[in-house]
Formats: sequence, structure tokens, C-alpha cells
Amino acid sequence: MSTPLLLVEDDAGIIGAMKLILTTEGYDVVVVSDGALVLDEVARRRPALILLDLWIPNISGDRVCSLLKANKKTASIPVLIVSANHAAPRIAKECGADAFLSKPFEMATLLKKIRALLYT
Amino acid sequence: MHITVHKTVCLLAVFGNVCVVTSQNIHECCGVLMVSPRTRTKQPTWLLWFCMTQKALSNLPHRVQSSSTQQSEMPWQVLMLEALLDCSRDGYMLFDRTGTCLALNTTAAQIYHTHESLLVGATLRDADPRLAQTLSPCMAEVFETGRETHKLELGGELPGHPGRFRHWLSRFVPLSRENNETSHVLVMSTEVSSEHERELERRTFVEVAGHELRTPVTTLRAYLGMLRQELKHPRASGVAVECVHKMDTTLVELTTLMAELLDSSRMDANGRPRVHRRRIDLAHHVRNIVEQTRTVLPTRRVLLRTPHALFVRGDPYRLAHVFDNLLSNALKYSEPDTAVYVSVSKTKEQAVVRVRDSGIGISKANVDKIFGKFYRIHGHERVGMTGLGLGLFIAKQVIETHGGTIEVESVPLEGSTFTVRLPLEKIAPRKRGGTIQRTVSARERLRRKS
Repeated sequence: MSTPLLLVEDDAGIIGAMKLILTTEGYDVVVVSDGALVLDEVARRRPALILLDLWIPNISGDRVCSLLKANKKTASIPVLIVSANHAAPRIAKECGADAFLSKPFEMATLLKKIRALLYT
Repeated sequence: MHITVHKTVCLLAVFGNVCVVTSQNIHECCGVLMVSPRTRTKQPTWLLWFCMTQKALSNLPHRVQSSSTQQSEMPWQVLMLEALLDCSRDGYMLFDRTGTCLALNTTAAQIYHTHESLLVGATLRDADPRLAQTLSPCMAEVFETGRETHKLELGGELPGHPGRFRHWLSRFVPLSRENNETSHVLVMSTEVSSEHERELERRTFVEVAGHELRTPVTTLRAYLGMLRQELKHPRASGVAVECVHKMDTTLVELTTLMAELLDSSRMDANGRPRVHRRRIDLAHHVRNIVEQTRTVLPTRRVLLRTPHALFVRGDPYRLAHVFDNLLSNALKYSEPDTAVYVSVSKTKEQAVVRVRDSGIGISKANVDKIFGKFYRIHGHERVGMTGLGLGLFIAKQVIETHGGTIEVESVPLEGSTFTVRLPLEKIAPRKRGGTIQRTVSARERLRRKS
């Protein structure tokens, strides 16, 4: 059974590219484009890892991450912030994310980060 | 009493020891007041200069008239001066060397949340310790150096105008007596709220523009990454591999250009980059950058030597950009079959990062200029090279903001070595207060026993 990943992103171009990369690597990818829907989706599917953009509609990515990490049931799910925001490293640290990746990124770097979070 | 304002004359009026002067263009610079009071009583003499708005001038006769009716015992020159100062939208406060406030206008009282009756005639420390804490360092500096300073920025709400956060910039102007010694300091506070709003709008624009630019580039890079993987197949066309390689290189250049442009927009009011420092492993960061470069440009040789870990206090994002820029330059300005050497080492107090190439080098005339803004190598040295000429300028600003240095040694046609030095993180010695306390107590007990 393939590893379930939750991709939280609102840009159609990036969704298409990341979904292609991740499914080719054998991951099962579910996409959510609205910050307000993330918590429900996490409760329903229990993903192995969450790839989270910061600028998403309704609830910002850092707020979503803080809520996930504050909940005992979801705190252990690794969160990888993937953002074009120049302050992403600082924001990721403040909201309790496990790692961050600045856009634009290399495919190899993305896969390396995901593997590191899933298997360590 | 009536004062007539003539728009076309320079000298508006001279009354005793009070002189009112206006500029020719009353709409732009409505008036300058020069006052030298109390000269007859041999008190300290000073000059006050300020600009008033046209509205303030139009209010002037009425205010002077009403003031003189109520306080007829005061000399009208003083009343006029007070009226003029109170009309000003800038705040004024005058202090002598003892820190005693000699005068302030209504605006200053509002800005600093104080009152004239509380402050005038008293030392700042006694009258308002909170305000003294804010103003004293700048005042002391001006009294000591005799030079004007405008370092103090204040933000807050004005009484009676809740809900609107405003900003002021205060200038501390030295006023001298005949012996050139600074006898008084004039604190002039000008509202800069609109400048702050514009700066906020600019920053927001840069953030949004940066985000919007990076998003399509991310998509493009991800698809190119996929294509690169597919082309690793032995049957892949050589032309296709070459095309993807060129697209990759161009995309890296585009990313660098965007980063340069956005970084240059993220400077503070003093032209310094804003940095968020924390404890970082410099060796780890440099390793990451080299690994990323090797992924993008697998045909290039980048040789790396780093210690296991080396800690500094720095902004990981900003420093990563600096080293990425140095490495990109080294690769850009050297032949594809030559190697680039990156090393991280340390001295007693500094972390040292060196990036060395065997490229085209930099002529002696250009070495001093390369860290300047918008500087680009000219002539044959830059054939086919892109860039805004901001990368090394930003690198220097970032490194200096971290308390470090960046320098270059170069020989034309032989290569260049860029050296970055950053202060090592100072590790405070572990406190063992409990042990010391116990030892002292034991010694004390022994002494008492004996």
C-alpha cells in the first residue's frame, strides 16, 4: 500500500507538478486547497506527512500547522512547509513545523526531505 | 493686534527682537521664524527655525489676538511665538545642559504624552522619568558631540485621535552660544506616518510580487526535474538532454535574478538588509548549497571541505543566498571543465568560508568596484553573462550586518577567491553557581570551626 500524503496548495500549476512527481515516486497524494478544510481532511485520512503552503485561502498555513501541532491526535504527523515566502524558515520554526522547503525547489531536494521526515 | 501676511515679500515683519520671514513661494514653504529672545537680559541666545503650513499662517492673527486679550500682561512677541509654535504640526522641545525643559509646544506635548505645566522649568528626569529614558541618550550624544542626530523614531496614538497609529521622527539639533559650546538642544519631531504607510505598502508589494514570481518558476522547475529524470534513460536523445540542460541553466539564472531583485527591495530605512538571526550550523548550510548545485549542474565539479559542524549566529535564508551567489558566480565565470573549491574552516574567533575558482578573474581596476550597487563586469570579461549587478552588493550588506567581512583576491585569467569571515557563536560558560556556593560555605564552616 502506498504512503498517503496530504498536499495543501492552492496553485493549480504547482499542484499538477507536485502530484506528478509524488505519484511517480509511489506516494498516494490527496490535495486540499483551502486552509479551513485541512483539519477535517487530516482527521479523515490520517496522512503520513503534510506538505503545507503558507499562503492558502481562509486559514493561513502557519495557523493550520499550529492547530495540528496543538492537537494530541495530529501532533505527531510531520509537516513540511513548502513556501515562496522569504520568511518561511522563521515562520516554520514558530508554528512548530518539522521542516521547510523554499520555492522554487529542486525535485531531488523535495523527495529527500520527504524521505527524511517519513523514515527518521 | 493684526498681522498682515504678504505672499510676495520675503521679510514679513520685524518687531523688536522678533523677526518673521517667509519664502517667495508661500504655498510650499510658508514661513520661517527666527527668534533671539532675552538678549537684552543677557540670557542665552538661540535661534529657532521652523516651517509653518499655510493654514497655520492664516490662523495666526486670530490666535494672537485672542491670546493677547486673555493674557495682556505678557509681551505680545512671546504670545506670537507661542501661537506660531502651537500652530505647527511638528513638535518642538527645548532643553538646556541640565536637562531642564525651557519650552515645548502643544504638538510635542501630545506626541510625548506629557503636559507643558508638568515639564517646563523642571528637569526631564524629575518631571517625566519615562520620557527621560526615551530622550536622554540622544540628548547626551548631541551635547557631547555637538552634532545633530535624528535617530529617534516613535510610534503611538495621539490623545483625542484613538485608533490611528502614527509615527514620528525626532531630530536633536544642537544650539550654540558664542563660544561654540552646545548650550541647548532643540528636539524637533516631524510626523512620518505617511512615509511609514508607503514603506508598508512597498514591502507588501515586494512580498506579493516575490510570491507570485516564484510560484510559476516552482512549477517549471518541478516539471524540468521530471524531464531530467526521464532523460537519464540510456536511449534518451542527446539533443533533448542538451535542451533540458540549457533550460535548467537558464532557470537557475532567472531564479538568481529574482532573488537579487527581491533581496535588494528588502532593505531597511538605512539600506541594510533585515536579518533574523539564530544559531545555525554554517558547515551544514554550505554543504546543502553545494549539494543543491551539484544536483542542478551535475556536470560541474564542486569540491567541498567542511568540518563536521561550525556554529554562528545568522539568518539562514540570507546567508544561504550569499554562498549560493558566490558559488554561482564561480561556476559562471569559469570554464565548464575546471573545478570550483569551497571550504569552511575556523580561526580563533571567526568562521571562514572560501569559494575559489580558476576562471577569468577580475582586473585590478574592477576588484574595488565589484561590491558596489549595480556593478557589472564590462568588456570581454562579461560576454554572455547575465545579472543585475546586485548579488555581491547584497552579499556585502548581508555579511556586514552579521558583523563579518567579505573580500576577494583575484588574478586576471587565473581565477578568484572570495573569503567570507563571520564571528563564531560565543558560547557562554556553564553556570555552576550552586557548586561555588557550596564550596564557599564549606570553607566558611571550616574557618569557623578552627
